[in-house]
Amino acid sequence: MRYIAILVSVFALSCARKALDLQANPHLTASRDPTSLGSIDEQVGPIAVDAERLYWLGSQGGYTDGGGASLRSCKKQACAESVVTYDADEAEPSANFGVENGQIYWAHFLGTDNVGRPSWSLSACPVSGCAGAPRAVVADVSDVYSVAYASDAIYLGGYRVALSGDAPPLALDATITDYGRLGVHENYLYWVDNQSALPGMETLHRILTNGTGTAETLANGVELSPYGSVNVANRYFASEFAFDSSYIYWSQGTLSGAIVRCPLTGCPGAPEIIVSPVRTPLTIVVDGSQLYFLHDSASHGFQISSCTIGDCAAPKLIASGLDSTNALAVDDQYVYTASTGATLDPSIEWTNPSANIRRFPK
Amino acid sequence: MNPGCSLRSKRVWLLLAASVAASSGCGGKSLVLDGAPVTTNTESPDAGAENVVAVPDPIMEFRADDTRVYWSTDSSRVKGCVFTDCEHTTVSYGTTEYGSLALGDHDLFWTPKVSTTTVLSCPKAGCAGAPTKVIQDTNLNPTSLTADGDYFYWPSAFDTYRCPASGCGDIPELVAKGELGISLQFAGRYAYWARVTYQGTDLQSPVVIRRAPKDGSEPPSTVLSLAVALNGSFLDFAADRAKLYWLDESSHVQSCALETCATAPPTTLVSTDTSKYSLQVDESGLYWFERGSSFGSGSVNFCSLGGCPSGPQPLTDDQVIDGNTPFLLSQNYVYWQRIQMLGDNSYTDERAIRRIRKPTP
Repeated sequence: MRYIAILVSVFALSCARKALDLQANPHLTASRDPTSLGSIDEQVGPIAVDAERLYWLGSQGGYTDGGGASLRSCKKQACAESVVTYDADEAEPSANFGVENGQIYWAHFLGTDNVGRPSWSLSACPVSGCAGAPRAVVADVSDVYSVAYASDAIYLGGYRVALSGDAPPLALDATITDYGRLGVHENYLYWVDNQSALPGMETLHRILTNGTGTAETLANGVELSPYGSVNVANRYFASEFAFDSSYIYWSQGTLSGAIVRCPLTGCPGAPEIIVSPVRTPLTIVVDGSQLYFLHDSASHGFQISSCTIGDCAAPKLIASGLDSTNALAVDDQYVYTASTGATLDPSIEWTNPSANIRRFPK
Repeated sequence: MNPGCSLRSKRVWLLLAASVAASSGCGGKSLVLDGAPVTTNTESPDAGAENVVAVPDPIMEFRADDTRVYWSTDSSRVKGCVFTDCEHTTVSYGTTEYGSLALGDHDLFWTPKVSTTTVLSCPKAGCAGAPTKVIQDTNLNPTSLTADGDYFYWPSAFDTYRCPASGCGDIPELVAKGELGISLQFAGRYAYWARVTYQGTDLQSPVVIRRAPKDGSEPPSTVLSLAVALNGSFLDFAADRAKLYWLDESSHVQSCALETCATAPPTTLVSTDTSKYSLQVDESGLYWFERGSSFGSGSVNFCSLGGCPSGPQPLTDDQVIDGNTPFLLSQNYVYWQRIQMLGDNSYTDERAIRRIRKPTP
């Protein structure tokens, strides 16, 4: 089973509208365009894909008006005829999701306590549909700012929650107070913190996920995506970490940004630059020797480009006019995304609460 | 009182009455008079003050050069005019949400109402067609725009960038990587800014004054690190080609030579204890604002760079001054704005932009 891990940040919680305003499920209209799985009247992102299905979080109100979000999927073949909605009465705009072993998992924001610490629950359904109420995996974990999904567990900040639901959350020796900077690879949880309080001076750490050992420091002076780059126009954060067997990759999401990497065991010096400059790189996917990255452009909205790692001086443009900062997923054959088809106005932001779900040959 | 003043006073009262009648829960202070003429009045209650540009709407921010003034209003308009004949030369540049303006040598910059992450520009004299899109950046702070020469400068994420008024490509010019240019200002070939850290929302000491060439051709360097007592307010500093000036915790004006700030003790230029704000400098001297005892009152004061042993020189006679930008300097003038106060200590929506020729040191 293909493993899907999606990073979530909950930074926008305080601004998120709590009450859902779900109208009738948006209708996904099939397309004859071979690059389109169909169009739907909602903003789409993030997305994920496994062998059979494409998954996405759709926002009917669009990002800019705080509308509610719903978690959906469809079969990659005949998408329009197979749309499933999992959480029509539960999803929060900042929720994100992971898929593993025929189940889809998502975090549900419960609220904040009297000192502002956010709490989350965790729900699950079969990918074929909930057929009733979602299964409650975890009822309430507090002081959680970030969520990451792995093959056998979900990490709510520094708490490891077994997907089986048969063990209480395991508190790792990791103080994770930052937002949206969490990733899991093999036996380690990776995160960044910013003890210096200086922008762009974060520290990358990792710790064994089995609860043994102490945190290691892998790199200092780490620059990730600043909150504003994805929070103003989009409520959902980018997946900023990617992994291969030897490296952790991340995007330095500035206007003169870069995608860099460090060995999984730590950076002996400055991170290695894979591609630079890139205007606000955000979500990245490493697929073998190929790097796929979602980035901004001055005149065509968000775009997806790709290159071969080690030969990235001239990336290949795959798609433009994207619908969100994290609408990027890759399977064996295709790159999946969602575009708006909006007409560009040079003076306004790229926002349009409708999407064309696209796929392009790799 | 001259005839112009009498006419204007009557008009203000009429406008005020209309505002109260038309208001809907906004305290009767919001006039919607878009398109109403901007008037020029030569009455001058300040000795030496020149003309008055009267704007029938609260001004959010204003800018000026020797020829023109530019302002944004509560009704989200960006306008400008020739100062000496505003009534017949007013032009509209567009709309704005936050009202911040920046003025370059040839262009006016602002963020449009429809997109607070976009900066537009037009020639100072007015837009010939659609405004130019200079940048779009979701990390833009639309409440504090900065320009110098023919470039727009801004801090974004971890870095400070610049872009020509004609617009950027995908990647703007990097002025300082890893440096957020807070309180950006310019002198000679350098950009100066404050590097600050916060603990929660509290500004932490020290505040570090940094600089780099405007074109980013050299890495940033530290001019001065100030261990200051911060009571929630931000460090007020100014620079010219030779020196750095700042207000210390006693509100005294200190200075140091740019090349020796880190090693030589500072020189005290102004030692009066009154609270000072908005310190600025030009080739003649230092300017700052002192708030008065009543709402909206205050004065602009001057001290030559050689010092003012007989005390600072007030340039405005306890004028009623309002706004986040209490005054600004052009090549030859000091500009400020005035509220039209009423006898019961209330005030109208009308604002006046005024100016006085700079003192000769």
